[in-house]
Amino acid sequence: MDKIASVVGHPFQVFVRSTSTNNNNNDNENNNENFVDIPPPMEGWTIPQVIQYSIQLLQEYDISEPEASVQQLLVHALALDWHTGVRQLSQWTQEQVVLTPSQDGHFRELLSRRLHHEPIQYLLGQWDFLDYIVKIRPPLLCPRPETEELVMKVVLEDDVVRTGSWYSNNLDEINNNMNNNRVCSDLRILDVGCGTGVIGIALADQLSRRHFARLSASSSSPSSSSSTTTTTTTTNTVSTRTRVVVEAIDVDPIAIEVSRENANRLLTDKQHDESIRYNASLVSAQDFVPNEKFHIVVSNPPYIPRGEVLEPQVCLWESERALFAGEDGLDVIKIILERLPDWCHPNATCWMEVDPSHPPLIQKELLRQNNDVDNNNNNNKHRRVRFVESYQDMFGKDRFVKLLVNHEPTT
Amino acid sequence: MLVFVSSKLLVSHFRVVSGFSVTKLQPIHLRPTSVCTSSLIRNTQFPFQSLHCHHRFNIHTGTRGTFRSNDYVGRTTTTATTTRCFATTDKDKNNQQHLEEGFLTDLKQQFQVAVDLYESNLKGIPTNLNNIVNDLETEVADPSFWDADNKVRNAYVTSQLSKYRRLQQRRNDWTSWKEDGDAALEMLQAANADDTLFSPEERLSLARELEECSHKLIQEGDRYQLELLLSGPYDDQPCRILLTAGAGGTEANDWVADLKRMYERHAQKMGYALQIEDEQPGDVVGYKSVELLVSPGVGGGGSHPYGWFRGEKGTHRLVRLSPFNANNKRQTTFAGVDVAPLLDDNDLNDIEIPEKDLEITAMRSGGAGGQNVNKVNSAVRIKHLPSGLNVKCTQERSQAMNKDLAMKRLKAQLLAIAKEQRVAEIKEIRGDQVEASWGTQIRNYILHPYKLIKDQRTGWETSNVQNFLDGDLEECIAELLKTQAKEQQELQRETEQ
Repeated sequence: MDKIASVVGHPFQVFVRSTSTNNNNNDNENNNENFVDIPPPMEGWTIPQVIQYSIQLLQEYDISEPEASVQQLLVHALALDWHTGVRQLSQWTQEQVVLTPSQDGHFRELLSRRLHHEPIQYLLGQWDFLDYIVKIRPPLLCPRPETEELVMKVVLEDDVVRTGSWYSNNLDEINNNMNNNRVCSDLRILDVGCGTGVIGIALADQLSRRHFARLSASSSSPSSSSSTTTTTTTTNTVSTRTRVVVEAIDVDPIAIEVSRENANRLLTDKQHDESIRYNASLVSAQDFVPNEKFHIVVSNPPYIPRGEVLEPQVCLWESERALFAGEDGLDVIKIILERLPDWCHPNATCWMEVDPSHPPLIQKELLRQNNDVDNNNNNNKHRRVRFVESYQDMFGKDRFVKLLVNHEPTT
Repeated sequence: MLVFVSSKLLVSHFRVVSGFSVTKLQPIHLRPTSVCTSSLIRNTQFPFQSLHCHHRFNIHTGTRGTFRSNDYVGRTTTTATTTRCFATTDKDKNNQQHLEEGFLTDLKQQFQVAVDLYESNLKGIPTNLNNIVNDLETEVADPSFWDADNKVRNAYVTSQLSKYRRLQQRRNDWTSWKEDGDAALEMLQAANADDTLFSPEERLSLARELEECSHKLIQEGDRYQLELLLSGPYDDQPCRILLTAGAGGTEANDWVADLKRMYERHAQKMGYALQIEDEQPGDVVGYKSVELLVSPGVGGGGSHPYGWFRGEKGTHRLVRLSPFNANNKRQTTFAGVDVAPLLDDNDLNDIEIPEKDLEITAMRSGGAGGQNVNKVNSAVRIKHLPSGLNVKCTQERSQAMNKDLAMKRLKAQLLAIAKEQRVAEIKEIRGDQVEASWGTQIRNYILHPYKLIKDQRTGWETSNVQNFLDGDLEECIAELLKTQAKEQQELQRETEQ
């Protein structure tokens, strides 16, 4: 007990990542520490007894969210249904359901790992993101609710999607191939730093579900299709062949593996009928050179400024590379800003989740970058990135930025 | 097993000879089609409680009548089965003659009532029904109909088609019953004029047929009319019933458990599918709150869940000797029932609530947020500021899903209130209206010192408390629907004037 408390569980202990070398040392220390403390056997205890005792134990060790932890871990240990398990658990409060030896073993193992601040998402191996069940493995970043908001913002508000401008981008190509049956108009999305892959996967699925249903509905209504029959046929041809292509990149091999797994599981049908294609590759934003350009770039890059104080279950377990990005947290974002013109079609949009301190800094950075272009590059066609807007998350923090990749420089 | 007679026509003439004794039945006055409530059974002194089946009766003089048998075991009343008995022996010639005449007039009257109902019902059905069904069928038969991009239209047409097909089936049934009845009546009248035309057995079977036709027409017609009352915009949607314990601790929690059981049994009886969405157990017994989801039953039973249950919204007051009270004193407790339709995304998307009217709080709020924290508590609470309505959602692991769900529920509740308070737009809903729709005491359940359940809105009451709590809500709800429809009509008339 003392051992755990001394390492991770002290109530007032703070976890600071001042330098990266320091961090690695911390990690090593933690990994080398061999915890022997495991909770006492609870075999034969009733569920309320188990819950009560475990909550107390977690509270003693100052673990975040003791009640939710115990509920989720018990659901897992008792192999209850993913969706209804917690409710089932609460219904047993008045009944005499007791822990069997194997359940007890499983639960105690989970509980002892939780005592070491391991995130619940890692313990269960999966978590919900929107209505997708996503596999999660350490040390990938566990998806946060803000990221759900980011995805829904793109689905509902993105200009490229709303106006269908990606389609007009491809129009030349489509017109050239009008008589060719193999015409298709892909909406190409890039997910930078995909982690578990949730952003790209959710986005692809939502867009193919919502948007294309609407697109085909509008193409069949007479008002929207222009009077000539040729256009009508074109629209029809295209709408049935529309495909969402997601390119996901990350620097962590585990991320590539897990995001592919998730995509295969969550998008099985749509990948099969070719309405979605998902591809993950191990490459950094700096080195990534796409075969084809993109219409939308989304990213939840690492954005925490160095030196910020994080709770133990974040900084001890989640990948540092997914969290921290230099002194001001802008390191990766700057790379993305620089690379955007090379990656994108004209009028492409870029959505990012950022630190609330970032939106003004990003504006400044873009200004600098565009000046450089003006000074050093006479090529008028070089695309610029324009800051459009920042949005608040549901907690009122400036969490999201929307950027636009312009075709021509604006004044 | 209890046996009682439910035919008004012949009750006073009945004499029944059983294997054991000969007894005269008490005259009970019932409407021809009404189902005898069990209180009536209990209150009536019946001599045949030990009899096992009705065919042991040997009917003496009355020639015919209707028997119904109820299984009455403990608290459970199973559905009544109808058995008809026709006496063919011991005919008193004069008496029979006399009976047959009165009998025919009564039958004719009854049939006339049925036909009137049939005709008034028929008026409400579109005359070009067959064409409508044909058009829809043609559309469905088109191969491109099932294309993926046609989903919205698809769902709409399929639901319309099943609705109109049901109506068609209904109309055909009615018409065939009416025609059968007409024919039987005609032959009976002819037989009355000319005794030699039919044998007594044949006449009996004709009379039987005529009565059966009237009976079916009236029963189905009543049912149809009740369903017509359930024609509100969301009445055919599934609904969510939320039971919340009022003040009163353990006793109130127990009351919620009783109500939960009552609705479960009632839903089962009416053929609805009921699902428990959420339960917050009480500290000692019962529940602090229960959330039920009622949807149409699988076998076509139980249509219009929201329409049927929406009248249950309000406060339910219980008065009884509390078993949880140290002195076993009389205690009054309350439980709140909230009923809201479960709406399609399509219906809900039409509703716009300005963001400034909403206060959305997440359990996780506060602190840095974003990548800095990793919390699993995803509960979301949404408050609608103008009305003060509060919705909390905790059941999903995803915060966005909880928010979505909470928003849907809030919208559904607002819609329901808007409709109830006859407000045209949601933005016109004010806090006091919400209060009013919640706080109204709609029904009293008094178990002590006397037994009475009384609906405050209609005045409908029953002393058979146990059966009501066992889910016999049908009469009470039907009464409410009729009263509400009447009020609506009067209101309309007033506005027209």
